Order: sequence, then C-alpha cells, then structure tokens
Amino acid sequence: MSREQSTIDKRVEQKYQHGFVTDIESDTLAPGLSEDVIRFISNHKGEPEWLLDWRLNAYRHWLGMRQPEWAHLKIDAIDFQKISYFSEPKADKDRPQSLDEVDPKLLETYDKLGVPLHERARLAGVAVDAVFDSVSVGTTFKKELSKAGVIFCSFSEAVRDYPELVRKYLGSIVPPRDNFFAALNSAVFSDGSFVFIPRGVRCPMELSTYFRINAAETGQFERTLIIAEENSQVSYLEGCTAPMRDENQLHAAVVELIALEDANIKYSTVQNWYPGDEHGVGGIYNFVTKRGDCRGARSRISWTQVETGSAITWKYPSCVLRGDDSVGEFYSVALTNNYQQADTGTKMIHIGRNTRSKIISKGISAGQGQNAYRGLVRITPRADNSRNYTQCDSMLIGKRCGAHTFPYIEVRNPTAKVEHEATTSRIGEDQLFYCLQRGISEEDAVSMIVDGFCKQVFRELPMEFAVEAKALLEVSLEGAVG
Amino acid sequence: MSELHTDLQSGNWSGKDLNLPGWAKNLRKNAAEQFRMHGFPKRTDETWKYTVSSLQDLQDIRLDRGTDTGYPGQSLAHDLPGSGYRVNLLNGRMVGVKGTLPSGVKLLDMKDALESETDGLQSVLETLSGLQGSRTSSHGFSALNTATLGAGLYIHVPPGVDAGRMHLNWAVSQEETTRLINSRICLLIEAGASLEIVERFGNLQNSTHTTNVVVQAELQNGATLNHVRLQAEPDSACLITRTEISQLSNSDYSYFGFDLGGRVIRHDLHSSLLGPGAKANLNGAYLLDGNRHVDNHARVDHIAPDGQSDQYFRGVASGSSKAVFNTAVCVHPGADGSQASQSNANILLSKRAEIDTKPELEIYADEVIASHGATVGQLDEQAVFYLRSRGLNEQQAREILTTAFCKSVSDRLGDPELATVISQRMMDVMPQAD
Repeated sequence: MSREQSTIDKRVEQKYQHGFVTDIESDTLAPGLSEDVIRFISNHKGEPEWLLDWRLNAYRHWLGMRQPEWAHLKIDAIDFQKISYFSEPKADKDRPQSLDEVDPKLLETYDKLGVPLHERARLAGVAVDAVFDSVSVGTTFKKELSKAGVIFCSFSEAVRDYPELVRKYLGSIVPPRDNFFAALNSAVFSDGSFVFIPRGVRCPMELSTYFRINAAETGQFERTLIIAEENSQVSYLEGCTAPMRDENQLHAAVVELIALEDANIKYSTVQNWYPGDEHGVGGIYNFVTKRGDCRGARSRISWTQVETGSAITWKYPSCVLRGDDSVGEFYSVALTNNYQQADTGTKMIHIGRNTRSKIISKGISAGQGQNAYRGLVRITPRADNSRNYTQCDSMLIGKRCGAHTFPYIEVRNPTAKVEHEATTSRIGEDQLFYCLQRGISEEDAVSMIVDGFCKQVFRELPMEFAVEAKALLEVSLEGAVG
Repeated sequence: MSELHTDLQSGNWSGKDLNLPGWAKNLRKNAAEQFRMHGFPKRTDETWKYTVSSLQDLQDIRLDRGTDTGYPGQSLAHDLPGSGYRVNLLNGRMVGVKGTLPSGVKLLDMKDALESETDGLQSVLETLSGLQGSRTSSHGFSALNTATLGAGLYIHVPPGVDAGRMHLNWAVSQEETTRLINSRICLLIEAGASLEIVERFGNLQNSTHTTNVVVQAELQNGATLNHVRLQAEPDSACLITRTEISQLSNSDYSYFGFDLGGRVIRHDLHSSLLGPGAKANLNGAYLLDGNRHVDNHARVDHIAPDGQSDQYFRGVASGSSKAVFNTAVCVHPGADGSQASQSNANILLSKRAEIDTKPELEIYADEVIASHGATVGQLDEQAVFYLRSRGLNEQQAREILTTAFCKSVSDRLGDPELATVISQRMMDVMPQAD
C-alpha cells in the first residue's frame, strides 16, 4: 500500500482551486445585526414598506429562537454580531445596466471560476445570474428569455419590477418563522434569483446562478424563488465558491419552488464552497433551507445536489406533494473529506393522492469527514396509493471518518407503499487489485469506483454540469484513499 | 408528577427502609437527584417524541407501597410449554418459585441480594448508572427505577453452567389508585455459562397500572443468554421496560419479543458488544389494534471488533393504533470487521392507524458490512389473489398472509414447541383490516 499511500499524499496536498480573493472595491456594512441594519439593507435596495415589515417581523421572531442542535454536527458557536450582513462590489456610479458595464475584475473572477459570463454561457446556451457577495452583478440572456415570457432576474429587480408576484409567493413555502436560519435569512437577505415561467412555456435554455462570497467577515444570505405556472418547464442550476480564509463564514440561503398544475421544475446544485483546510480551519458554514411545493396536480419537482464543499453542510431540500399525482425526487451526492461535516437529506411530504417520491442519496466520507443522511418520508391519511422509494448508500474511505443514516418514516395511510434501504461499504482492496491487474492506475481505479457509485445521481444533472461534478469529486477526493 | 416527588421524598414506597450498603444508597440518591432534575420524558426528547402524548397523565401517579401479597396470576404460571424454573413476580416483587435450580445457580430476591451484598451485583447495577444519561429526561423512568431500587431479582449463573430455562411471570394486583411499579432484574452470566429466560407479561385483571422494569445482564466471555418476552398486557396497562445487555468476547445474546397487548408499551432494548466476536440477535413482532401504542427502540453498539448483530422486526397495525419502531446500530471507531443488518417490515391495515419507523446507522469504522431495510405497505394483492384462486375467501387469504408475515419472527426461535404456542397466540389476536 505504500506506493498507493504516496500517490494519495501527493493528491491530498492539492488545494482548493477557487480560493483566490478578488481585489475589488466593495461597500461592506460594519459587522453587527440590529433592526437598523435591516432598515439599511431594505432602504439601500429601495424596497417597499411591506417588505421591510416582513423582514422586521422575521428578525423579531428570530431573536426568540435558538440555533437547532439536533443535527449530527459539531458546530463552533456562531457570533451573529461579528458578521457583516451586506457587502456589494462598488460600482462607479449607478449599478451596471448590462454585463458590458460590469467591473472587468468581476468578470475575470467568474472566468477564473469557469463561469465566463459572456462566452461560455453563450456557447452552452445557459442563462447565468451571478451573485457576488450580497448582490447580483449581472444576468445573461435576458432578452432571449423575455421573448419567451420567462422572467429571470435578480431578486432586487424582481421586487422593483414584479412586486405583486414577489409578494404573492415570497415565504409561502418557507415561512419567515420556519426555522432559525430561514428566519435569519428572511430578515437580512440581500439578493438572489427570481424565476417566473408563465403558463405553457418550456424555458428555452437552462438557467443558472453562480454564487460567490468574496469579502471577508461577511455572510451570504440569498433567496431564490422559482414559480412555474401551469404546464411549464424549467431546469435551474446553482453553483457556489468562496475564497480560502481562516475564519468560518456563514451562508444561510432560502430557496422556494412552486410548481402549479403539470409544471416541471428541475433544480440542480453543485456546491463547492471553501471546505476549510486539512486541519479543519476555516470553511463555509452552509445552512440552507430549500423546499418545493408541488401545488398542482401532476406537477413534478426534482432536486439534484452534488455537495463537495463547505466545512458544515446543513441542508434538506424537500418536496410538499400537495397536488394529486405529483412527483418529488431527490438525488444527492455528498462528500466530506478532512474535517468536513455534512448533515443532509430530504423531506417528502405526501398529501395528494397517487403521489410518488424517490430518494437516491450517496454519501462519501474520507479523512475525518462525517457524513449523515437525514430524511423524512411522511404519508398523510389523505395520500392514497402514494409511493416512496429510498436508497441511501454510504462509502467510507479511511478509518477515521463516519457515515450515518437517520431516516424517519411516518405512514398514516394503509394503501401507501414505502421502501427504504441502505448500505455501507468501502472501496475494497479486491476491487482496487482487480483494476490494477488490468493495467488501470490507482487514481483512475478509485475515481472509476467512486464514479460508478455516484452514477445514478450524475445522470440526473445537465450534461455540462455532470462533467463538472465528476471532476469536482475527483479533486475533492484526491489523496483520500489509503 | 408532584405526588410522585412527594412519595419519593417522604419514603412512602415499598423498599424504602432496606438496610442497604453505602454504594447502593449512593446509587439511589444520585438517581433520585437526576429524576428530580429531569423528570419523566418530554416531547422534546427525540427518542420519545412519538410516545409522550400517549402516556397517561403521570401527574397523579403514586409509587407502589407494596402492601399486596396474594398472587392473582396462578393460572398464568403454566400456560407456556417446556419445563424450567418458574418465578412469579407480583407488583415487581418475587412472591413464589417452583422447580429446582441447577447446582451453583443463584436466584435471590433483589432486596436480599442488596442487603447481603451478593458478589457481582454491585458491578452490574453500576453499569446502568453510567448509561443513565445525565443531560436529558429520556431515561427518567430508569432513573426513577434506580432511585427506588429494592424489588426484583438477582440471578447469577457460575462459569460453564447451563442453567436451562427460567420463566418469569409478571402480574399486578388490582387497586383503585394509579400506581407506578418499579422492578429490577439483574443477571450475571459468567464465562461459558448459558441461560434462557422467558418473560410473560399478562395480567388477568384489567387494572390501570404502569410497570417500569429494567433488565440488566452481563454476559461474560462465551456466555449465552436467550431472552424471550411475551407481552399480552390488558387494554388499560402501561408497560415501560428497558433491557441493557453488556456482552464480553464471543458471548451470544438472542432476543425474541412479542407485543400482543397493552395500552402503551415502550421497550428500550440495548446491547453493547464490548468484547471481540460478540453476537446480538434481536427479533420482534408487534401486533396492534384498537388504540394501542407500542414503541420499540432497539440499539446495538459495536464497540469491539468482529461483532455481529442482526435485527429483525415485523409489525402489523390496525384500528387507531400507533406502532413506533426505532432501530439503531452504531459501529464505534476500531470496531473493524463488524457485521450489522437490520430489517423492519410493517403492514398498515387501517386509515386511522400509524406506523413510524426509523432505521438508523452510525458508522465510524470502514471495514464494516452494514445494511438496513424498512418498509411500510400492505399485503401483496397477487398473493391474496393466488390464495383466492385456490378456493379461500378473501378474509382467510388475508389472515393467512398476515399470520405468515408475523410467524417469520417466531420461526426464528430455536424451540419449535414454544414457537408453535407463540404463533398461535399471535393468530388469536391478529389485527383485522377495517
């Protein structure tokens, strides 16, 4: 194994590739949280009165809440007064009106990230909204989308241009009081993406948002709201990165999806926030509330996530299957290496008749990583003939990591069928040996085995991103096998 | 709760005035303090969240004063087959024995064992205090059990002795007040020794009591314990039990639990595989109808290498009943070579019934084979159709299939005679679809 070990060591040393800091002038609010900070954010964005009240209500409720402790995570105390709740790149005069006016340094940043806002997006036919620290810096393909009637813009623009839509749907799936981090987000959210697909429209291209935390001592609190009207269809992808810093930075986002009758929303995430170094110093604390509402009959929401970054991931993308015959899906690959911790999974709440849900979760733990799947499947008395299938597989690489499964199953309807199965395995020496004697190198063998393990999830991702996710997984895992 | 705290402080309960050794007094004192601080389980305790609302109001419950002597359950004593030593327990205290104990095997009333400081008892009892959980109220019942320590049994099987089968028949006398009865069974099975205990909970009288039993066993190297539990409590009874097994190397523990009655039943079954090569084999069936509530929490901790655990549970719920099942396996760092499997299948027969199941795995070692499966569903319609095509009516077809489903648990018992009797008992109470 010594030869293997040295290859591993070499690969372990590979560093996080998105850890650069962009030297860009930004306006950052002094750390601290109070009603004044919230008023400042709201005022700065020129928000209507009702939204300020909504934020303040969330904040007042949050003051009385306690940070949840039930997850299988060790979290250092977070000082919410030490975080800056707003940071935006300083534009010379007004906010950029088009991408051509965006600070070239910013565009360079996204180039480095592999998200060239102009070229690649055009080539790939993907519309991109880029969120830098607290604000959206540019959305591509706006014109093409608006021809189809699709609204894809930053949250701030949506509040300004489509206030009725925002007011109608904001907080309708994740209420401001839903949980500790959702309440915090509701109080201080600074920007995010807004998508509206009108009735009968199939969105002509993939939509995508890239989030990046750049400024130090800031938190990022974005909100995404996607509404798919009757018989419409959309595929949306988000990706995230952050610089390498010794301190832990907080990311608390909220994502709400609404699918009306016959609508189809596919939401994919490639999460690659800075995971901290090999000693567990620094890294993003990622506390995200994501929930989709299959409100109409025959609607469908599918969550796909590849979670390779963050020091701590606390995230449970869920589906409320309200409409009859609606479908919820959750495909997840979560990887923890070094001292990363993940407690992630999903909730499938079956309310309508003939509702179906499928959960495929693949957890990979390496180094001293701790990886937990936590899920809930609830079949309510009205959900006749509903069906759930859950498969949770864990792979352990090394002796000091952990893989855990906490699936809650609550069934209150005798016509429902719920199945859950889970396995735990490791990359066996015999598997490696077999590959080696066929002339495959150790690195390739490991990545092949891991790729095979995750295949069910990767094939749910849009093609370009599946390639990216696979590469990301290889980088994150490098040096972990021994 | 206030009444109970008063009882605890004033000493208005059986066994208060025992002439205890210092360590036992300390155990009681610390546990009483723990109970005073945390009380009974609350809804916020994750492991009790499905059950707390079904527990009867514990506000007015009183500790048992231990005034009864007559044993009402004589007829129970012979209703299970097989020879063996029989022990009758009334209100948690030993009231009668029948049969001859194999030479060297000790069976003592807990009171006498404590007062005479019998060898080995202290270490078995003190194991639990370490597991009592100081932070939460989730073990409030066992803290209370330790605080009132005095009733129950101590069984000691010396090295290499096969102690055969021992029946424990639990009964409760009828009284007007709602009482909480505490009892403790301690078993010390030394190296290479073996024992089978068959517990029978089933009161003939319909009294509204809450029984709180803690069973603790220490299995030394190569020891074997076969533990069968048939629970057929009356509709009004509440039974809270906790079974704690410590297993040293190559010891073998098998559990077969059958829940056929009771209003609220909660059983925490926990085995710690402390020595290499230990095996725990946990099996159970729960059959619920009416408004019964049965909550089984089974957990195996693999602490030493090469341990094996197998959990196999089947449940059927109809009426307005609620079945809660939680199975957990934790493979600790260093427990390489562990093998763990969990299987839980449930059939839901009614629109008002509910099944909540949670098969948990916590793995901290990589040379492990672990898997679990859990299902909730209904009978296979094709199988029903097949039986009907053979001339059975629909009800018969469904009964046969439901019985076969539960019988897969009793079939795992090593003793075919006992398996037949138990599967018959299950058929007698088999829940029907609405």
